[in-house]
Amino acid sequence: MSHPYKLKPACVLTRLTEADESSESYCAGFELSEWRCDGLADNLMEWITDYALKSDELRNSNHTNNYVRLKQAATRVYISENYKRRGEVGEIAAHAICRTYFDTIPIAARVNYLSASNDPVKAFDLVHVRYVNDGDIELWLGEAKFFKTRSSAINDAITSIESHITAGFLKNEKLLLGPQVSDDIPHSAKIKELLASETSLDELFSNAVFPVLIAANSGATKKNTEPCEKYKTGAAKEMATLWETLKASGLTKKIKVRLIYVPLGDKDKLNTAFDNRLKALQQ
Amino acid sequence: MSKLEVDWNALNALKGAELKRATFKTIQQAAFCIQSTQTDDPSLLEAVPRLSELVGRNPQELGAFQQLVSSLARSTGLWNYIDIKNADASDAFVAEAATAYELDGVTFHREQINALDALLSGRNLILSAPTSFGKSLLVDALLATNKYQRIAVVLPTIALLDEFRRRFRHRFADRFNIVMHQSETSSDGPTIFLGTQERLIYREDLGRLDLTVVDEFYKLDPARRDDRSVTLNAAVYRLLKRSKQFFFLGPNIDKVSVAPDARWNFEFLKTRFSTVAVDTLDLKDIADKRGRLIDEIGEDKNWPALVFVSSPGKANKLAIELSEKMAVSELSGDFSAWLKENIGRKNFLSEAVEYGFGVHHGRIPRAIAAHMVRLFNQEKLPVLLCTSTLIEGVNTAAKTVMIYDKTINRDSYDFFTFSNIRGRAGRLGQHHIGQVMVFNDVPEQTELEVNPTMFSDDDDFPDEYIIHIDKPDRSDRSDDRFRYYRDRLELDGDDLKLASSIGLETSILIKEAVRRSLRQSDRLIWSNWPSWPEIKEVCDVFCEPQKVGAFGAYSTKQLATLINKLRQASSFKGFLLTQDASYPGKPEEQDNIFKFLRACEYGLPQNFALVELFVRQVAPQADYSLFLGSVASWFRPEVLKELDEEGVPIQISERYYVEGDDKPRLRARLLDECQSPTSQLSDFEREWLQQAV
Repeated sequence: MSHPYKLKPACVLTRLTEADESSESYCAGFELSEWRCDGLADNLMEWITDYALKSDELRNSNHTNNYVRLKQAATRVYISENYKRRGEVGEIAAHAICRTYFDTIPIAARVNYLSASNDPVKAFDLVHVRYVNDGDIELWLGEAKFFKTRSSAINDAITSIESHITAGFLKNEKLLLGPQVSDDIPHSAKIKELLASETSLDELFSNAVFPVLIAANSGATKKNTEPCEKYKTGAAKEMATLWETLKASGLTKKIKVRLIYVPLGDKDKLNTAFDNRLKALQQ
Repeated sequence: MSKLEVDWNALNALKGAELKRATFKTIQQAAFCIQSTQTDDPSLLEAVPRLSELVGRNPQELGAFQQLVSSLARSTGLWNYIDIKNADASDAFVAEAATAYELDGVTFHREQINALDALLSGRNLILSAPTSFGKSLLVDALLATNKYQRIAVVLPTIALLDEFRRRFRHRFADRFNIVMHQSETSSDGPTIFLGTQERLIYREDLGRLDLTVVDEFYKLDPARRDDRSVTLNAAVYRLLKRSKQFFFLGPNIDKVSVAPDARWNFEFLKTRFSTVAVDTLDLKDIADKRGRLIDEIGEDKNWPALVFVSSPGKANKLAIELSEKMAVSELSGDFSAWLKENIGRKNFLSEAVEYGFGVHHGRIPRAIAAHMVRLFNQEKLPVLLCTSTLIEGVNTAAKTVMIYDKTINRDSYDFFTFSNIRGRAGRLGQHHIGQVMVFNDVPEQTELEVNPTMFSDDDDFPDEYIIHIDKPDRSDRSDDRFRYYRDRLELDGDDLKLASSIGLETSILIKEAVRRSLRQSDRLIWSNWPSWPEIKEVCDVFCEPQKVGAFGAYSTKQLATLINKLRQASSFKGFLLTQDASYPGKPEEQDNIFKFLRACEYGLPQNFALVELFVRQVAPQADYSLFLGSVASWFRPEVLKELDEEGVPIQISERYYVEGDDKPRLRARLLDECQSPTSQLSDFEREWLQQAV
């Protein structure tokens, strides 16, 4: 079946550990014996459009229309003084991995809920749907952290998710705001129902999955020059520690969490490489 | 959920935590609606400007909701409402991608992008969208791509021409030669031809066109009761024949009908996408409508307000009554003083403006009407009384539209016209929420199907239109009709087209009248400057089958006198002041003099020219050319008339005109005068000129 989400860019992040229900690791690999920082930055650039635009929004237009200049727009949004950086690198990576390895499709631009003071708070960096068992759908509500240190990344993620699910989110004070779901998407009726009805989210909640992406500096990546067994074991160990922290928080008992670990050679270097690419687009 | 139902008044009245909760609930409902309604459902779309306004009005309580409103704007496709600086990054990304920095940073909405998409891929497009859609902007967007080199733009009024000309000059002066007047000529380079149908139909320098744009294209349908529709169809036919692509724009049209074998292919895009919300106040059951109207006009919360009246006469009467009752502005005194000095003390316009009431209809002199609109948009003239002329053109920034009459002239307006009048309320960026007060029944909602003559079956073409069709495109039957008129009138080519602009049957009657006159006297045989009896004889001849009132006079005698006086007047201002001083009639009809001046521009020259053609069939020595060359410019140098169309009143420009001036030279002189410390211009005139030149 062909639908707007069928096409997607290739993803340079490849699976590093065995497929697993609870935690998996993805890595950009190595190039000339060094962690592939530039390759990852290039690839994230390619994913920007898929990440930022939903469904057929603008998508039909970008070849013929001079007024839709996606790359320049990306430059203005992500590096201009007007915007505060919000860890987009991590969000784009989470988006690319979910789309590539779990075949999810994005459904809502955002999920919000009311806080105690009645101010709206944005919850979740990623809202996708995944088709399972030929007809059922699973709601993927993701959190992405792009940090230097792993421990602060995972702690931050836990705090975010806890506040999201305990605060307004479960009390029906949530809001899923996204563009119209186009009819050519598989099971669009189900997705529409999910977005449109106030109760169905709660029903679906038992089937919701909470992917937690942690992209942080990794000792294993730094110490190695190729994707050898030693590297894989090292990264798996780092991932296991992150999973332990998640378990200790009690979250894994309440909800279905999926840890996605992206070990980085150097977070700052990746950030700079990404920035440079955006700047290069500025004319 | 089929419709978003929100009690906006109740929401607007809330405060504090309650307001926050209710706002969230509204956005939540809107979010659900997006999945279940049409993307251009007005009830859903209007939530965006309303919420945007609500958040803007309560920054303390709702500041944190701004991101949500931006997301809603994004989801509905109203990307122009995304607050780029504060929006979530991916929402900002959409808005940035649809922002044209070369067009002063305007952000397009989704439907505009769809239309541009169709056009930039080379398709012909007919677009029907509400007034506040931002249709004209699409033309600018196309020009900015550099894909089009030669473009013709057909607009219904000269006021609108000037508005487009200003915008184009501001944005594209260095890239395009902008041609609007007959005296301006085109080179081979990139050119924009701007004109009404009457002007474009006779241009010889069009060459090959890349694009033809027709604004208010529903006027192509003769059923729209517009006597200019034949000329419009003929002009557009002529343009399309030499154009690679076309783009027609208009409001609220449901269908365009085309004969099966019509030669033109196009895509019809209809959208209800509106960028502002409108509150409607139903006042049809009020006992004293006029009293209520006058009360509402006096309320400053309604300003700037457009008041729709059915005819120029009624607008004038209302202006007089209002200015006797109240004053709504103290900022228009200098304009009023100028009008007294330059069109006359007795003229009701001077008085109306003094108290803050502008009047806008087909008779008001152009530069003065343009200045009224400008002052209205600057909120210095809070109330503008207008007829349908304003509604069909000129962009105004009105908060309120009061629809007082239920007719245009004597005919009831239909739902289509009603919607177009209503669509004038609210203005993107200024008044997100417009207000409409309706004093009569709203016409029943009907579908509007447009039947352009040029798209219909050959046999349905009116005779006047057939005259303009090239021979290979005429069917046998049409060709017979063509030959019939050619032989009856003994005219061919452009001469026959001139007759068709007056009406072929009318022309036959005029021809007969000419022959009768020639049998009795040789008064029609003149050259150079005619005497009064000679002018009168021509008027008698062409008024035989036509109403003299159409030319702004009550008798042919008066018409001849007016023409003669205008010719002899040493200044335009002097002519108006003399007329004002000796005016004996009702105050509200005093602007008949303006009607006469309009007839000099269009109507009188055609009739004189046609009479001359018939006279020359018998007496080739007759030569009206000198007279004909001057009547359209009121016997002043052509350049003054052109500047008048661009907003400079002749009363000012003629003081600075030096024999032999062309437009750039006179314009430069006027600009110097604006800057000169020793200028004779009043402060008011200086400001006017600066805005116009």
